[in-house]
Amino acid sequence: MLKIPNHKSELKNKKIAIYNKPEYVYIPLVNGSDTDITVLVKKGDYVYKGTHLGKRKGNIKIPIISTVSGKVVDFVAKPYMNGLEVKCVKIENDFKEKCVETKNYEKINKEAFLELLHDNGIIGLGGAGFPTHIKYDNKEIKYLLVNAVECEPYITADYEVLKTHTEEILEGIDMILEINNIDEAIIAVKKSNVELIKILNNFIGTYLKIKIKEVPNLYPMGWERTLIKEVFNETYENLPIEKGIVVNNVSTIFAIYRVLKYNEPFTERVVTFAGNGFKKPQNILVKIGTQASEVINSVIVYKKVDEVNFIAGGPMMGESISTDDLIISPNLNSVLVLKNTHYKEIECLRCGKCIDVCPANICPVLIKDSINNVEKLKTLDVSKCVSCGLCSYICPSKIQVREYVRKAKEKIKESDNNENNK
Amino acid sequence: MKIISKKGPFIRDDNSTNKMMNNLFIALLPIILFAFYKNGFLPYKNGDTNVYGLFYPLIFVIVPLLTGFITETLYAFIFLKKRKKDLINYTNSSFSIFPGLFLGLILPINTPLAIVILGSLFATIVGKLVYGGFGKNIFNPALVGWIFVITTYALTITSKGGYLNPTEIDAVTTATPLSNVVSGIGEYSTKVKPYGSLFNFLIGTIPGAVGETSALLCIIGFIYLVFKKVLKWIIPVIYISTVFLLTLIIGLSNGAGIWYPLFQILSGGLMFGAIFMATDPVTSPVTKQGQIIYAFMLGILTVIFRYLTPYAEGVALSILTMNLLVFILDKIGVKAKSDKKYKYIPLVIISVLIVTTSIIASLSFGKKEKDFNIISKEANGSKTTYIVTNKGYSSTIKARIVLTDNKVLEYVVLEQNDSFYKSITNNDYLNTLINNQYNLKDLDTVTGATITSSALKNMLVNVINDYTNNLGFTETKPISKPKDFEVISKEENKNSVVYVVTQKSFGGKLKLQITLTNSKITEIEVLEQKDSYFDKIIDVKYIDKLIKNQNDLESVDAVTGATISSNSLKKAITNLMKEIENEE
Amino acid sequence: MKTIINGIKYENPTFVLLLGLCSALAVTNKFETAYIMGICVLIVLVISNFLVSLTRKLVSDSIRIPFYVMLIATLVTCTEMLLKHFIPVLYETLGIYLPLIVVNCIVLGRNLSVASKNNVKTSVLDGIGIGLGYTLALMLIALVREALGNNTITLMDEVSKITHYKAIYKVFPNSEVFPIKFFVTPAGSFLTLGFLIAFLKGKKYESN
Repeated sequence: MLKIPNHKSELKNKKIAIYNKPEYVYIPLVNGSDTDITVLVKKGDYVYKGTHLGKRKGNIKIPIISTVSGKVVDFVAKPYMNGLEVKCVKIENDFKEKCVETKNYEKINKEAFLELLHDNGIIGLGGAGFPTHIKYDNKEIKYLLVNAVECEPYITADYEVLKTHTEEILEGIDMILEINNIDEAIIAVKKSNVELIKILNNFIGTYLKIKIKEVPNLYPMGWERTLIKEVFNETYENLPIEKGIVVNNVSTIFAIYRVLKYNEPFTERVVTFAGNGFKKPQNILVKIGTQASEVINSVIVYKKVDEVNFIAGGPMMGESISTDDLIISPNLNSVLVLKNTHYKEIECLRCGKCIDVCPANICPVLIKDSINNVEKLKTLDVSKCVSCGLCSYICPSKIQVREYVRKAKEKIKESDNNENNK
Repeated sequence: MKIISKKGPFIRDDNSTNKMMNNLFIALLPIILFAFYKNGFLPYKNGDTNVYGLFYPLIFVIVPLLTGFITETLYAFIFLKKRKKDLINYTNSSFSIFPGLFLGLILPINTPLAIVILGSLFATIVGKLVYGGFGKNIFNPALVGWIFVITTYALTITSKGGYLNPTEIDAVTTATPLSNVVSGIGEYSTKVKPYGSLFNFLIGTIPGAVGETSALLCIIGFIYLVFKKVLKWIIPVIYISTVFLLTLIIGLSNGAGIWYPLFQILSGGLMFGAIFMATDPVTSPVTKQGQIIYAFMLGILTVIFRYLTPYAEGVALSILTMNLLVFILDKIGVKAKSDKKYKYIPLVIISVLIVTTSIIASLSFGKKEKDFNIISKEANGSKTTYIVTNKGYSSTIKARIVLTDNKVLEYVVLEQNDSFYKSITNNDYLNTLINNQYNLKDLDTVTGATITSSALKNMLVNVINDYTNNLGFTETKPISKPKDFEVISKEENKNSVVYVVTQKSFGGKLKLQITLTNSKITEIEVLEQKDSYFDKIIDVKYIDKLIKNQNDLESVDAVTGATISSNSLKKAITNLMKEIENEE
Repeated sequence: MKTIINGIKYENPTFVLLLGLCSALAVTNKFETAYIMGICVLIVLVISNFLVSLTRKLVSDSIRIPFYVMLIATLVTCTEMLLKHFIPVLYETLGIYLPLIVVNCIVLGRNLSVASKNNVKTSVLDGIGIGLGYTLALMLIALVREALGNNTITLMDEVSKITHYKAIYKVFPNSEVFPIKFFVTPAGSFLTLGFLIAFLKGKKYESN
């Protein structure tokens, strides 16, 4: 855990711009990192907003929905936020914004709630894109933790959404609490977001079950484990539901609200476009499936810089993309363009700073030392790493420590596979 | 605009290894300047040294620094085959100046420069390069060089004055305050007063290695480095506190006040060692728990080395020992993160060790203290005056013993109340003790006053031990016996050689001038003699007889009534002939 | 010829095979003791190789090792007795390391691995090669150690009883730095050996 520079002030007082009328959208046929999707449409089909374009195979079922109404033109490969290319459905927008026909629910009970979440393709918008209906598919939920921390530098998407739609989000939380019989909801915000806390306190009055918790301004406070430790002082093995807690990102709550109140599918989101490579950095409301280059060239505009890094996500955990054709996927919260800096890597100093800052309590430098010794690696708790990037951030010798840990994870996986095959 | 793909994270902390090393150097600057001031400027002002001596401390620090730098650059050039830009990058990131710099600061100022260069070579090559260069060494390279120099060249350095700079050489007889530890707990007046007060210890105007003395500057450097986030701060804090705690217990159980632990932590280069050498990032543990255990063990080992072994400087040895064990400590540190057991069991073991060590160390004093005690020790020029006490038969005997160079000059009993003391005075025992100062072990006690005389003997033995242990190194030079025969000078003329020799004789030394022509003795002249019956020798013209029969001295009988003198003359001739033969 | 070169360069017992190091480090304090020891081992090795290879077909597998050890022990005892008679001072200097040639891994190792499997000519040549390699290695170590650590090179000191010729050379002019006593201590011996192995092996790898 470490306090790192914020870089958020330049966007704080700008309003959310809107660019939600693209000519073409490319809906990536992927959920999280799983590209094993059954395709349900073919070239030439007419789709509506909310039509299921594909669905995920395997145990976790979630559909991929279309975000515009129009004709399916083609299937193309486009860059995705993990750096690789995925197959996308190219849809020609007819700008009619026709919604698909949906079931009408008189009263929404838990079953209906889960069905609604599934049919509208709601996934976690804070990072991993885990299907939300599975999170709620549990009997005993004691707490709902709304994650409005947004600890990565440069990103202010959630902050803007919460500031602009405070009343609606609070209403949404209230609805979720009732449907699922949850006792209490806690909204976690950073101590330093003083205006946001003031606004929340203004509107929170009537909601007795919703509380606000201020958390310190450290990275990675937004990570599930550290947040739950900070708010509830609890630890868990694999999933927060073990302790009866469900964690949702603020933007996800807003999407759920739109579904519950207006039966509206999730088609657009706020994305932060920031960094010192942009002339006019701001938060923009875009349709899922828009090409980043389109948005940038019309609204944000590049600065004249020699070398840049084009990053999908935040500066700590985001991936570097080689072209600016990146597709805005549902769980992409920011696009950054930063001036490229060359760091000269030298010999490890053995200062121990990477061990001091690691939030998962493992020892990155020792993992780096025994990178070739798989037996030793298995004793070093490599699986606890969440790739937060603090070890590489803090290293004075500018060593890419996180990459060693990732490589170690691969090696262990390979060795386990070999053992299983025997 | 070009899009570059690389691995994240895309923002990095401002800190870098280069900055950390620069800060380390900045923290060392006040210490280097103080070393220059204390060892160069002050003696120059006092008139004890010339201009070369004024800048000598700076030279003393810069020379090993440059040696280390050049060695590593040459290594990169010859063995790693780096050229131009590669070479510049390598030297920038290998930080080769630090082993040499630290070595220059912890060696005694009287180490000849050639040995310092050799030590710096050893430190860089065996301490650092052999393991693979920066970041890969196991032992602190400066300490490796230090231990090489000290164990190989201890006598050479001591003979040139040891740790004392030109001013201190006249003023103080003992080398470093810690050498006093070897002889007993002592009192404030014997341990601290000779150097001023505890404040002097803090500022650093006490004898010691070139840069180690000033505790205050070390602490200032420490605070600066913690502020700049360069150090592993846990290590010095725990190390020094452990030593303080242990010496507090030892001091209290032996009747010494709070000054005692303060004196212990402010002397012997503990501050410098704990803050700059033990925290060397490459050779200390990376995990928090590992660092904690490391620091505790360092404290315990230092106390053990200082009290239970004849080595006075415990810091360097304890750091080198713990460097060996760092890899185990890191293993414990990793396990401690997930398993609480590994966190608490080592601490329990360490507490047990602390208790045991303090008990053993305090007891080791008790034995020495009971009988013999040094009340005070003062130096005036070349004479050292001891006031000592020892338990006698029915009272405590207090005496004054004066030593100079390698001899005991005076032994006066100031206070006593023993029943049978008369026998001591009747037998002139005190003079017997002085006359037999080189083989006291075999000397008999006075019958009828055994305990009193053995007490007197014990006092003299312990004083001599303390006097010869004052060098601060491990080797103790015994009070050397003066030679029986010695060639003072040799002069070669046209066809003759003239030797001036001394030979032990009856009442003292005979000084003779012996002339040889064509390898035969032609003349013997007596320059000095203290023998009582020497006139007999002159009367019978004994010397001429010896010259005549120089090839067969055995046949010449000794002069009756002056047997010893005659034999001494014969021995002088024989010894000289042997010496001449050895030369050829 | 090739076998001999092999023993010196590619399978040097001290620098490559790392056999018999304890006696190597102990006697290299002086140059003289080093080459005397080397010669003794050479003689023992050659003769034992010769005898072992002669009898290799007669000895059954189960009794091989005790038989060879007995052979070597006899040879070493003869050498000891000869040395004690002719150069008793050297016998004193070599002390315990002379009888230890019996268990010097070089002798037994070469006997088992080479002499018991090859004909007489190869075995003897191999013995000469390995022995020479050992002697040269020891001489090299002793040269470094004595020159640096004692400031002398003793070619003939104790041996002068036979040859009536003393040859002790001073290496460096007297100064404060030399002699560096460190190199005649056991610590220095290990360090010298390490550095020599590094240099000699390093050259081999570089030329490859």
